[in-house]
Amino acid sequence: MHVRQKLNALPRQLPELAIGSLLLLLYAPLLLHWIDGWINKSISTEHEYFSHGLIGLPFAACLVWSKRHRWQALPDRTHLGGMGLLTLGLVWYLSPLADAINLSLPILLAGLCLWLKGIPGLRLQAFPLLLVLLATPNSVPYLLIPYTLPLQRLIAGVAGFLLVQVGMPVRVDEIYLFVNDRVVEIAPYCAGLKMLFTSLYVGLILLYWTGAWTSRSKVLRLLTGILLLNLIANIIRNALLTYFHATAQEAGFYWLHDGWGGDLFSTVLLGLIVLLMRWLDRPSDETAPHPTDS
Amino acid sequence: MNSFSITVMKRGIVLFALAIVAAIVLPNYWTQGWTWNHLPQLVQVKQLKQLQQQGLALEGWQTLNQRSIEIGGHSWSAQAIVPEAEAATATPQTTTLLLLRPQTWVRDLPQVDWMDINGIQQWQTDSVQSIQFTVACPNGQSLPVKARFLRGWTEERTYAVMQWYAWSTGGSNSPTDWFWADQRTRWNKEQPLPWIAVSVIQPIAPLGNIETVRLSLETLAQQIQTTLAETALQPAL
Repeated sequence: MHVRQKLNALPRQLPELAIGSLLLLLYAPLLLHWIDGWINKSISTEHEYFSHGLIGLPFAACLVWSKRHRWQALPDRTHLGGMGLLTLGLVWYLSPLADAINLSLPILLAGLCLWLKGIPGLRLQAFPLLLVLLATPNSVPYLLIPYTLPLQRLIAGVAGFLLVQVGMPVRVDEIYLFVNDRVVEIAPYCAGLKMLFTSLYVGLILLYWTGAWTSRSKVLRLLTGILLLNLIANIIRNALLTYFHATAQEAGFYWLHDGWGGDLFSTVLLGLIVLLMRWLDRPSDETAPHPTDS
Repeated sequence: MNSFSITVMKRGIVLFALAIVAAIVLPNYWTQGWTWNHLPQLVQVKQLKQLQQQGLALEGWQTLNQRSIEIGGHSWSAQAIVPEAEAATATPQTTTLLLLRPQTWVRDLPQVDWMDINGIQQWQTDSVQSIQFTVACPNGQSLPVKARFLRGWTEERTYAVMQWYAWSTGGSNSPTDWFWADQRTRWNKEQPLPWIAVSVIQPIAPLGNIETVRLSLETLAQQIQTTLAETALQPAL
C-alpha cells in the first residue's frame, strides 16, 4: 500500500510540474525583461514604479513554495471562473499591448488556482498573488498623473516655505519654485508616488511577515505612518533639490536626482519604515509577563 | 466519470492550452522576436518632426512668424497667425498664437502640457470649461473632439484659450482619453496612435468674456484638427 502510494506520487505531480515548466517557458523571458528594466532603468519611468518586484516576486515564490503541502492537501475543486481567467490570460499574453502581456501573469496564476483548487485554492495563495499583481508593471502611474496635482502643489508650497526659512528668496507659483532666476518644476513624477508605492509594498510584506496584518489598528497605524513619512521625506527631498539647483550646485542636484543619493534616500526611508513596524509590533505592557507575580 | 479522471482532464486542458501558446512563442527564443523587445515605431515621425520645426499651414490664415520654442522641457512650434483678409493691418491684439507639440517618439507621452503653458505664460486663468465639437472626415465619419476652453489674463492682455490633444480619430484635452484610444489602436492595428498637443491663444478685450469668441475659435479649432488629421497625423502619406 505504501509502496503504491509512493509510486503514484510522481505521476500525480507530473502534470503540475509540466504546467510549471510551460509557465516558465512563457514567462522567463518576460521576467528577465522586467528585471532588466528595473535594474538598468531601460524601459520607462512607469516601469520603474514597480521595481519593488525585485523583492516582492522572489518573496511571493518563497511563500508559494512554503505552502506547497497545504496546496496539495486541498481537495480538487473547480471554479469555472478559473477557465475564464486562463483564457483571458492567454489571449492577453499573445496581444500586442505591453500592459496586457504583463498583466496576463497574475491573471493566469489566479486562473490556475481557481481552476485546480477552486475558491480555497485562490484564498490560500491570495497574498502571493497580490504581491505578484502589485509588482506587475502597467500604466497606472501614468494614468494617476492628472490626480497628483494637489500633491505637487502641496510639496511646492511647503518646500518653498522651508527654503524661505533658511533665507532663500523663493517665490512659489502653482507647482513652480522660482529662485535666483532659476525655475524648478515639481513634475508629476517628483510627487513621490514611486517611493510611496514601494513603501506601501514593503509595509504590506512587513505586516504579513510579522503577522501584524490581523490587527486592524496596527495596519492602520503603519499605513498612516508610511504616508506621513513619505510626504515629509519627499518635501525635504524636493527642498534640497531646489536648493542645489538654485545655488547652481549641479553635482549635488545630479547626485540626489539621478545618482546614488536617491538610492540612499530610499534606503533610509525604508529603514525608517522597518523601525516603525518594529515599534508598532513591540510587545505591549499589558501582555508582557509581570515580574512581580511569583 | 470518477474524481480522478476529472482531475486528469482538468490538468490536461490547462496543459493543452499552455502548450499551444508555448508553441506559438517558442521561435522567439531563437529570433528574439518577443513583443516586449520591440518598441513600436511612429510611421508619421517625419511629418511630425516637420510640424515641430515649421508649424502648420492653414487655409485662409497667414503665418506672420513661426519658430521652435522650449516649454516645460519639450520642443513646441510657436506660430503667430491672422486671417488672410486682416494680414495687412495685423496688430498684437488681432494676432492669434498657435502652439503645437507633436509627439516625435513613441515613449513621449502627453502629460501636463497645459500646466507647462501656464508656467511659461505666467497668467491667471479662470472660466475653465470643457467644450465638445465634431469634425467631419473625408470618408463621411464625424470625429468627436473634447477641448479645454478658458480665459488667461496678465496685466497687459486677456486671452481666450482652447487646448486639446489631436489624434487621427479624435481629440481630447485629457491624456487619459488619448491613452485608451492609443491602446485600442495598438490592439487593432498593432501601431501606436500619435498625438499633437494644440493650444490656440487668441487675444480678447481686457478681462472680456470668452463667450464672444467661442464660435470663431471653435471653427478655427475644427480647421486645425482637420488639417492635422490630413497631414501630420495621416499614416499613409
